[in-house]
Parts: sequence; structure tokens; C-alpha cells
Amino acid sequence: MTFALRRAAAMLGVLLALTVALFALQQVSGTDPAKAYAGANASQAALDAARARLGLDEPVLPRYLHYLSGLLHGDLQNSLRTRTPVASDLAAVLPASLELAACVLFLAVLLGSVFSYLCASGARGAGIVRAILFSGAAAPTFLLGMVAVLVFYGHLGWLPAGGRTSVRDAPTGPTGLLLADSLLAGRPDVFGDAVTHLVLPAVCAAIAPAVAIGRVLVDGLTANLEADHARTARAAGLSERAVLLRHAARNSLGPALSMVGIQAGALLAGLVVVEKIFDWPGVGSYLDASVAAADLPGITGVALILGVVYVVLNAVVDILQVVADRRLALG
Amino acid sequence: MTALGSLTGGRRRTATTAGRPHHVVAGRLALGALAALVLLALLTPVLSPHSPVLRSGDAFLPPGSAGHLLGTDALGYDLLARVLYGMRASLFAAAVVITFGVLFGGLVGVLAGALPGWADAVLMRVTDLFLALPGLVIALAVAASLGASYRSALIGIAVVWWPLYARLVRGEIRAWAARPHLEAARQAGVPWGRRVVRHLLPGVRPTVVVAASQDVGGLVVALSALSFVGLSSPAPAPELGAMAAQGMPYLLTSWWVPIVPGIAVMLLAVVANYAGDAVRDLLRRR
Repeated sequence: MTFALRRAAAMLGVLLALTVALFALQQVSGTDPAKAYAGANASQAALDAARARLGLDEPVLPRYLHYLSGLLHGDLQNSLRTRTPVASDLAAVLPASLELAACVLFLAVLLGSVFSYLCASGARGAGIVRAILFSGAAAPTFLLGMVAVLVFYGHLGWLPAGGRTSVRDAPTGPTGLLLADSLLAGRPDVFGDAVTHLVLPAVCAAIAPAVAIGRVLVDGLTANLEADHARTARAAGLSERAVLLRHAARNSLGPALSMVGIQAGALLAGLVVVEKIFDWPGVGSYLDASVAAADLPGITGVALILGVVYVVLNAVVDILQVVADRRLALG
Repeated sequence: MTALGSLTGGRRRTATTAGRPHHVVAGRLALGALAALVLLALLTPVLSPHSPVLRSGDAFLPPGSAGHLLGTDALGYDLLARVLYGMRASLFAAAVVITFGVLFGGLVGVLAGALPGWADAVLMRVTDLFLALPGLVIALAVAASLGASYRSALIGIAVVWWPLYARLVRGEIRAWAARPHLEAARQAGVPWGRRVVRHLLPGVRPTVVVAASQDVGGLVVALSALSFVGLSSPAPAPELGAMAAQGMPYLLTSWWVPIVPGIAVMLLAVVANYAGDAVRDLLRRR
């Protein structure tokens, strides 16, 4: 329990640093929020008024505190592109990204486990699986995404090329997660359609993290298979498969779990790329549009959201690890 | 940035496969291929068949067309020329980021490892803070704040990459400082600065070289992702990620326009990863 509290305190510290970093970046960016607020053709008097109103004539520290209290009240400033609060923009696109991210995370762990099982069990063809996945991890996500579109949409026509659904009257509430909403609304057709739209982007974004997670698992599994307790289990007559699954796998979970936390960063970056390719109406597409319009509040808003998700996820992973292995709490 | 670092690091090779001839041959091949790519990058202005930013033929010529080995893009620019310049930019960017990371991160690491406890604590807290944030997301925010350009993308990645080297160097320094020859040097009255430079740094060097060589592939991919999202030079600058992004509308009609730059990134990354492993194996055998 004390570990969870300490970890939570550290998390708050990191989150605070994140806000400081983003605030500092806005200061050095050279864009003038007053100009954005008052409009490009505003008179000097209007600019000064906007400056005073936004608190820009104050010293840095009060400005930061003002920014921070704004964040705490859910104010992520106004987008220069959409002219609406970034917070409400993001709230509208966040569910789509969460849905995709959850699928990517699930697939990354699943693929990573399968990959490590294939490698560690020494099954025939393990070397080939290894080689393919290692090269796959070196492929940029955008290449994977575009090749997937080319093959599965362009040539085979099996899967759609983009978007969340092609059903016009798909339910939009109450959760915003299409998979959940379609089930709640009793629409299996929409559910199936949503799944076909999810497959390609989710797999493409999952490959890089899956290889990283799989690699850590392989290391753990092979080390454990050579360990004394595995020898004892074999001597007791357990099959190699049982030794692997029951005795080696459990001991290898800790490092793999922390890899999941670390890979969340790659996962989020992959998400941004994949959303752009598959026209997924989420945070990544919002970011892409913000970048194209040089909309700094929009960009920092996305960076803040992704940063918070990453930091919180890592704190949760650390706490989960201690739950799984109490000895870690001492370290 | 741990996220991408892990793509290149952590590859495992058991003791039984480590010194085998075929492995050495593969390593030499990888190092040779990397050397060839670097040479290609250096000689690009001489070798490039066309200008990367001038129309040199019809639009959408497929690969293998006369005079355009990799075809042309939507504007009739030669793709081979653009890919060559793009790979040059990628390799140069990786070199800059790694150099900065080794110098700055290394300095922080040396100071943290060699200075008394409180300085170590402060430096490592700051480093940990950087490592606790999602690297690519921060890089993206930095690059966007500075205004999309090649330089901004470099700065963005460099800002999040150095802490990895700081941690690594600090750990190595601590380990080496505990060895008897350092104690001997101290007893012999060798001054602090000289002890660090002459007795600690040589021990740290192999580890840093290995880490740096294994980072190239991940860096090339990370930079191409930033460029793909539009946070590097504006069009028509020949950058691999941006080329792929700008070619995306033609994916289904002229696949080579967006795919060829992506393959170039992958080629660089695969060669760099294998070469990184070869460097590690070479240094480990010594």
C-alpha cells in the first residue's frame, strides 16, 4: 500500500513536469496567444487588452500557475484551427482512439506471447518467425499500414481501407466506443463492421510493441527453462510444454509487464501514424490536422493527453508488478 | 524514447551461437552494407541521377522506366534521387542525434557517476523525469513548438534521446569506479579529472559505442515517423517520412510513390540493426 502511495506521488511529480515542459514549449514557440485570441488584424489596443485579459503581461510564474489551474479545470486553451476549446475537441475524438488503443494493446500482448512461445518452445520454423518479426519491427509503422491497405483493401478487397464504420446509422452513444455501443444497441451488424475496420490499423500499430514485449518474454522464458526449478520439474516428469507454460511463463511475466508499460510510448506514437493512414477519427488524426494548420494549442493538447495516458499507465503497471511480486516493493 | 530504443536493443544471442563463423560473416556483411549506405549518402550529390526537387520526367512513371530506376512521383520528380537524398538526410539526422546524446548525455552521466551523492541524485532525478515521459510524444511537441522543419525534428528527438546515454554512462562509471585500479590510482595521487579521463572513460567507451550503434535503426524510424506526421521540412524537401505521407493519396493508383520511401526507411533500419549487433559481437569478443 505504501508503495502504491509512493508511486502515485511520483506520478504526480512527473505529470507536473509534463505541464512545465509543455508550458515552456509554448513560451519558446514564438506564437502569440494574444494575436490568436484577438485575431490577425487586431489593433494594438485590442492586442494589449487581449494580453491583459489572458494574463500575458504577468511574469512567468503567475502565468504558469494560471495555465496549470486552467488545465486542472479542464481548460486546454482554444484551438486556432477549429476556434473551439481543445478540451471539447479532444473529448469528441478520444473514444475512437481509446477503442483503437485498447485493441492495439491487447493484440500487442497476444502477439508478443505467441511470438515468445514459438521461439522458446523451439518449434520448427521458430527461426523464420523470429526473422520475419525482427524485420517487421524495423519497418516503420507507416510502411506496414500502407502495404496492408494495398494488399487487403486494394488487391484482395477483404477489409475496408479506413474509417471506423461504413454503416450510416451506427450508434454514437452512450460510451463512444463503437464496439460497446453496437452491442448495447443490439446491432451485431455494426459490431461486425466495426471489427473489420479495426483489424488493419490495430495489427499494424501492434507489431512493433509486440516484438519488443515478445523479446523480453523470450529472454525470460529461455533463462527460466535453463534454471534449476525447471530441471526439477522435468525430473518430476512434467512435459516440456507444461514446464514452459506453468513454471517458466509465470516467472517471466514481471519484466514483460514492465515492457508493456515502456512500449505504451511506441504504441501511442504508432497510433498517431496509423490513424493518419486509416483515416481513423481519433486523437492522431486531430493531431495531424493541427500540425498541418500549425495549431499549437491543438498539438500541445494532444501531447498532454498522450503524456498523461502514458504516465498513468506506467504507474499502474508498476503497481501491478508489485501486486504480482511483493519483493519489488522493497526496491 | 525507451520505446524505440528497445526496438534496437535487447537482442539476445546465446553463448552457443555467439562465435560461429556464419554469424561473423553475417555481421561483416551487415557492417559492409552499412558502410556502403554511408558512402552512398556522402556521395549522393555526385551519384544522384536527377535533382530531387526538379521535374525530370512525366508524373507517375513506374519503377524500371528508362532513366528513372524507381519511377517518378506525382510531380514528375525522380524517386531514386529523392530517396537517395532522403536516406542521406536520415543518416545525417541519426548521426547528429547520437553525437549530441553521447556528448551531452555522456557528460551528465560522467558528472552523476563521479560527483558526490547529492549531485548524482539531482542529475539522475532530472534524467529519470525525461525517461518517465513518452519520448516520441515530447519530441513531437518540441518539434511542433519550434515550427515544423528538419532542424526542429532533430532538436525534438535529441531532447528526448540523451537521457538514455546519461543513465547508461552513469551506471558504467559507478561500476568502474568500484574497481581496484581506480582505488590504486586514487592512492597514487592521480587527480580527479585525470582519473575520470584516463581511468574511467576508456572503460565506459565500449558500452557507449555498442548502444550508439544499436540506436541508429530506431532513430531512423523515429525520425521518419515525425516527418510522416508533418513535423519536418515542408514539401518538396526530400525526406522519407514526408515523401510517404505526401504520396499516400496515390497509394492505390501508383503504389511506388508512397511505398518506395517507406522501404528505404526499412532498409536503413534493418541494415543498421544488424550492423549494430555486429558491432556488439565484435566488442564482446575482445
